[in-house]
Amino acid sequence: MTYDFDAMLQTIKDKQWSLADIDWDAPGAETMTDELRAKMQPFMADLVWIEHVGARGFASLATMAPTPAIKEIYEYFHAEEQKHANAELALMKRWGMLDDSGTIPEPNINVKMAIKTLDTFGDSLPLTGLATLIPLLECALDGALVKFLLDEVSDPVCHEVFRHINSDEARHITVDFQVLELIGAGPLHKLLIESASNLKPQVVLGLIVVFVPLINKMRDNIIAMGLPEQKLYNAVKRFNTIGSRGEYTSRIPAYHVLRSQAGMVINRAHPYHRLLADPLVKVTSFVPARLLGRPQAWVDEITHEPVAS
Amino acid sequence: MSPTAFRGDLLVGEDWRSRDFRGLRVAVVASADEAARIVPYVARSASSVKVFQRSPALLLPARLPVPGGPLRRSLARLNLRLSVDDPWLRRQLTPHDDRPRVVVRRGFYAALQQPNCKLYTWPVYAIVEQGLRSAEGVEHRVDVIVLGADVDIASCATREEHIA
Repeated sequence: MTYDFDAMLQTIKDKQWSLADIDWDAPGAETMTDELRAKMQPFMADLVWIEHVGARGFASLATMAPTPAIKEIYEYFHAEEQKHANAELALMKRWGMLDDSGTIPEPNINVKMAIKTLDTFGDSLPLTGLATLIPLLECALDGALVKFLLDEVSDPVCHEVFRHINSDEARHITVDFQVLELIGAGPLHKLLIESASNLKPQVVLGLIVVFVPLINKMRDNIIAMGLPEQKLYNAVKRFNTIGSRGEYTSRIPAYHVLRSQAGMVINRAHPYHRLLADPLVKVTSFVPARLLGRPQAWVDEITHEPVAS
Repeated sequence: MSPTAFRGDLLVGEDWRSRDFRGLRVAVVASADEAARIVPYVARSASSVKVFQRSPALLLPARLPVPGGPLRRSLARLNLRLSVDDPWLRRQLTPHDDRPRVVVRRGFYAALQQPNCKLYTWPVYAIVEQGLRSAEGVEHRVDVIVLGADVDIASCATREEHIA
């Protein structure tokens, strides 16, 4: 049975919410102790940046969507990921984690490299590649990080915000995998040709150098905060669990590549960590940020203000 | 609540042509084709203009003796490249369909780069008392909203009832 993307689009429109719907001055901010604030500040900054970069990913997907309804859905998802970044920045402000200017802290080098890659190759990546990569990152980073946050923080406003965000994310994951089903159901030769075009050296190298250390860096940050990394692995496993439910997703070569990467990520004993991912985290930490140049203007679009005049 | 609950002025069709926008905060919600007619006029006098572009189009500043097709599109892309320096703004203005339409409009790119003007591509989902809300979660407060003829006001109204 084919999935009804038009009905999903209507649901997305009906479920829109705004930062202005939230009472940012409601009681509960005092539950953020000094100790928790210091621990959560870098974590929140990472989370905001991951959402912000996710938004950029959907902007690229919108340019290559297979149908007009999916294109419009991706345009909403682009905006919704930005909304999540904005809402999380507003939480940071509520908790006194921002300086007086209210600007978001600089991203770490791995996030900066992801931004550079999306700016350079994002719009020219083949649909099968990007459409498979986005749900992996959504499962692994978004899903895991949000779970940590809700376990650690008791502020009711935070839980209200994340009820909205989780509801949006559930639709993102649903659509992500339904699009994989749609692509996977297409002619095999088209899939193979598109997949072969994924194999351009700069694309493969870009993906390895950028996204392999990005996930491990995030894992290191999680461990540094004293949180159990198993939760990250459970989130990564979702990629495989949901993907394997599909009838056609397994026909997509990029899905198999990323699924096996996900399998390596969750196995700490795998040589992937010792020989590739961990050394890449170390090597990339020496990359001077100025080498990457100025990111495109979308990085400045983030705001914690619910209202703009 | 209907869009008329908006406390400012809601202009539809060609109503914007007869309006004085001096000192006003204005939002324009329209396709690129229409926005490119409205924005240069509004940006001349408004204190700020937020342009919510629904679908981008390729623009040429004047009628050229060039047949429609790839050559015309290439010239329009060159026009965009020469008129807009900022790569992200250029991307927002670039249509990504295989054969985008080319329309003749003058002054849109220049107006968008004025300091009082800003382009957004976020979907607008509701018109509220003091402005409009777009899907990136921000309420944009304005004095006047100009809606392009191809914008479905009913969908904004329906959404507003849902919120209320």
